[in-house]
Amino acid sequence: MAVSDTVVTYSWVFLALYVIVIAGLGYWGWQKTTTQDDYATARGGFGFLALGFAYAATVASGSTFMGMPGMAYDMGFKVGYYALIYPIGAYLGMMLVARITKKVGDEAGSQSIPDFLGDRFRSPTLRLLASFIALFLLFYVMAQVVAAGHMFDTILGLEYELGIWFAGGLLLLYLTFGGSNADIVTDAVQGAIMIAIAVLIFVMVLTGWGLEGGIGAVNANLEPAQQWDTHTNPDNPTFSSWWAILLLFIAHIGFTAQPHLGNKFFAIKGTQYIKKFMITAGIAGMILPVMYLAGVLGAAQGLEVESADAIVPVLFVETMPAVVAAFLSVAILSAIISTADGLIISVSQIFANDFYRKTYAPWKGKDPSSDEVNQRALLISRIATVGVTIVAVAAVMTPPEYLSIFMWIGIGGIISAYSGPYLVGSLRESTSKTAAIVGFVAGFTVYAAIHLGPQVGLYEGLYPYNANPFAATGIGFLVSCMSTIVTSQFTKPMPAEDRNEIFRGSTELPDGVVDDD
Amino acid sequence: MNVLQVLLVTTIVYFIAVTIWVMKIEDILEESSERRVSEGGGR
Repeated sequence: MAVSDTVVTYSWVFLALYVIVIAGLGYWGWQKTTTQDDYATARGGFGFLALGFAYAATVASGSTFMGMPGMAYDMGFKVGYYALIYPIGAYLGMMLVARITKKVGDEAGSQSIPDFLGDRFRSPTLRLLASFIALFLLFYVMAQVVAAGHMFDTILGLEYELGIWFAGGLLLLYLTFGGSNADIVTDAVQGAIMIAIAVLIFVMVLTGWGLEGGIGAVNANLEPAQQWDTHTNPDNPTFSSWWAILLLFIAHIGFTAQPHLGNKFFAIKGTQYIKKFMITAGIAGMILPVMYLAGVLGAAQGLEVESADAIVPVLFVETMPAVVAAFLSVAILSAIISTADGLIISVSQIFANDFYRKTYAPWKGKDPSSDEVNQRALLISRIATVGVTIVAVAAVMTPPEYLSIFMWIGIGGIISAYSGPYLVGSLRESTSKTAAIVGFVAGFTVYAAIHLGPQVGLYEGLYPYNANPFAATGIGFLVSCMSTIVTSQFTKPMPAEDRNEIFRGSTELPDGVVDDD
Repeated sequence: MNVLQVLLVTTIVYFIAVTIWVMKIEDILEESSERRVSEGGGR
């Protein structure tokens, strides 16, 4: 696709403004970051509106803003069963655990989700297991960097190999010193930009933009297999049946368990704001994936693209004024960066908090809440942030062929492992440590057996689980939760006074800040 | 029903679920948790 010089010029102007704004917000985040806890969690630092937008922006990545429209360009309206079902699962899951994560996490001073699991169950073993699995989030970061590289190439004419380093540099500009404060405030702004573009797409599709006859014309101009009367496609593993779609929904109930999402709950000002946060995130989160309809509209308009992922920029460049098309580059970059930053922070915390502060330091006889340990953890946080970003960018200098497989080792593996301990353990106080570990191991093992084994070519496996990571994760989720619940029936829960301390510890101060003393 | 109609119905059900959770169930869970203090850790 040849992008006009006008679009490219406007795009660079918008990008320059975007970098200035992001750098400014990064500076603000730096000023707010004085401790390791600030860097890791931005604890109690944000109101429901900013955090709600930030959470929704973190959930919706390059996959929502480029990947799903690309799928819809090929497969039509039925991609809505991914685009709009996944957030329903994700935000319902979020509601199950948000309040408990905040309350229990603040009381224990948990700085990550693996740390939260370790604190909630008083299990260093569970913390370590969860931390190791969480390392696979690195592949999720890599996938976002690849998306950024393609976006720069398509809209700005910047070569992929340069675009990925630009994206990495942008992330480091605000994350290295600003940590979670910079992560969340930039996500909130980016979320607002993303919502604006998603609403624009919705209006364009409803009015049948570029066609005569409204949304009916959009449908009429599609191939039969893409039209809205076709719900499933047995030859496509994702949409093969209603059961596959149900499993996709179930899998995404556990989506919130991922470290870069669960840790956002620590940042809310207080549990009294949780309800408003849930409503804000729940609404924003359902608006963003409407982006998938851009692919449907592009297909209906008969737009030709080299790669389906490019349909959103092509749609805008071909059908919108140059300045609007150029603004899209900022919106897509926002979607990518707002997920990548949270992932990078989470991976950095595996090293700084989960390995160093809560495992190595206590092993060496040091107090994890001492100033010495915390200052060292803060230094490790910053070094790890830089290291993780550089590794992620370098690893995708040649876009890896099977990146989505590796990405779903992270996502599907984490959801399948964490769901029992995290979701069941949050709703049922009597869940024992043994039950949590059994659920963790059982969920991951089943997911590895039905999906990862076939994906790496060990054996054929069973369709669609061998090819559909969502269906496999849905099974993993169910196995994790059920094995946690069943094992709990046969094992002793923690003593009542321990449970009281974990779930009902100190009282909140009037402005919602928890006193850690 | 076509895909968009199914998604519309699903989305409406979702928003109803969110409303019920936020307005009712969160309070029930919180009260149940606080009640366990006096019951000495309960369930």
